[in-house]
Amino acid sequence: MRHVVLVAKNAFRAVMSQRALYMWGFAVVIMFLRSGPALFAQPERGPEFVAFLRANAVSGSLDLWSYLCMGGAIYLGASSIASELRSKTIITVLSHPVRRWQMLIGKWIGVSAFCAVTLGIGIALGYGLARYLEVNIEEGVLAISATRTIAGIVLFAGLATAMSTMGSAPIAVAVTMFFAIVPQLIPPMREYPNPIYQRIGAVLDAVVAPGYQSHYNGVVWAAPPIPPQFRDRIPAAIRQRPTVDYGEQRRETAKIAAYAGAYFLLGCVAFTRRDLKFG
Amino acid sequence: MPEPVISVDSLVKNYRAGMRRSIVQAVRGLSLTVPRGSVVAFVGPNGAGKTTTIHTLLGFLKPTAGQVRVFGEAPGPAVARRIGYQPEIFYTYGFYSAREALRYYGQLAGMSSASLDAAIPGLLDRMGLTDAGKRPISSYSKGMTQRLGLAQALIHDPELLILDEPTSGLDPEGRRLVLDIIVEEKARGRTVFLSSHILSDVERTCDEVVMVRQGQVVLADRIASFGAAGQQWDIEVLGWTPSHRSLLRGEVTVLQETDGAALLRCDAADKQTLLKLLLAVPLEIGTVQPMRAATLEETYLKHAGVGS
Repeated sequence: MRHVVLVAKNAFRAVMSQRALYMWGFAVVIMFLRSGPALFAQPERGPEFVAFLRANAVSGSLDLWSYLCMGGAIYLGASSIASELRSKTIITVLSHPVRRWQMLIGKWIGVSAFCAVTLGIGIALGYGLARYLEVNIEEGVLAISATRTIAGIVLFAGLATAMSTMGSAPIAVAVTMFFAIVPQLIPPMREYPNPIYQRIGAVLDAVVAPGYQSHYNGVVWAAPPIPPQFRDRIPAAIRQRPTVDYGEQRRETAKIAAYAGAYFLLGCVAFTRRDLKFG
Repeated sequence: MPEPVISVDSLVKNYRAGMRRSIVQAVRGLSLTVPRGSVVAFVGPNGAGKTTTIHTLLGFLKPTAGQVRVFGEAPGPAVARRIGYQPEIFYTYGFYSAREALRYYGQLAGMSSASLDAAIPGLLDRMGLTDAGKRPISSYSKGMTQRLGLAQALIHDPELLILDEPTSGLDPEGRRLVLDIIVEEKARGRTVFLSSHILSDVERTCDEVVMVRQGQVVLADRIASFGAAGQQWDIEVLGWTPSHRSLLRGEVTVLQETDGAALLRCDAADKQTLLKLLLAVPLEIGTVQPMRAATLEETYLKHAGVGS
């Protein structure tokens, strides 16, 4: 456990040394731009329109921030072991009594912790923005949304870290992105008339972790300003506050965590068995 | 006989390389032993399989065939605690200072905070890095980084030091420091396995040398036997005829035979007897001079060097 903690602290420090403050600053600028319409909305556009813009600014900013965190988890996880192999810093670490799986778990925890801290900063900024715009945050929805994001961070960081043991960060990113995107393709494949596609869909459904689902649009919600004459034509799902099935979300989160563990275990086994050849 | 610290028996290591995944034999049946308390040099040209062997000792590579034992066990984290390893080029995290890096590697080696607090200042002082101890490593010169590499290998006071080209990139002062440390560690009863191209360093610090070429040991001998004078003697004899050959007894070689002269070589132990015999015949003795054994460099060039 001691070695895992040491490697995790080292991984966290390594990310912090790579201009993490600039990265956070850049994310704040994106968040500000995303909130621009609400920050500069004219009150004469009507209270319903302004309320919608403000709600959308906070929930949209949190949503955007959560995707940045998961993108960061993929990028940082993919480069974690790959960069150690490329720079050969891993030689000295593994010449000490550190097991390879301990190093892998340490990297996973370090990268996940950094992304979770980044998410925490985003949520704090979201609270600040909500207070400035005088809107209320639904804390229950925010909690489940953040939990799903953290599950996504853990999943993608774990998968990317495990894949990075192959020594190529771009390949690790590509494979992880495949696992991030493919869940969207599974339902249409399973419903496709061709039985081959159906079987591929079934295999992918078993192998690939559930896709990421964002619930930040329910964190702050306001009805969209739809003129009365169009209201009947707009689907109820858009006009009404989205509902969150907390039990279902908890089950999905647990499933994602289990997949993350399984992927990571496979990565550990592969990394422990392979030769570490340095040019 | 005590168990050797390192024991490599018929080690074979093959790689697959290139697009066609053809097999490359990096090490071909290499065997060696490193006795406890000795300093053994591991020399050979680039690509001879030295680093592959060292990486197998550290558990980075798994043998294709053969057996590797360190302290009687298979390489791995259990024995790594007793090993200090300095790679050929010490790559580390540029964001750490030397103090932080030593603390990190010391903690990985299982040291407590208190023992690190006690060990780090002395080690930095020994390596001449006290003034730079708080600076980020990214600002260090190559020599400073190499000295830090040696410091991290020594931080946990290991029983076995594996040094891969430890003087690479060092100025004369840094090189002398490293050699002094090897001698000090030997005096403390530590075992050192040193891979080096610099034969003068090997002659100065090592007890034994193992030469490798193309993944095989071509020579293993004690350093003291290289360049030693007086093991054999050359005697020039005048008035020699081929019929005098029948007089020779023991390990005497006729190196040269010309009209009326010969050059004989004998072991030091046979010298007096041979001279008495030659004078009794009688023959005239020309020069008598001790033969010098081949130096380490000459032996290296013969066995492992380019063109051998």
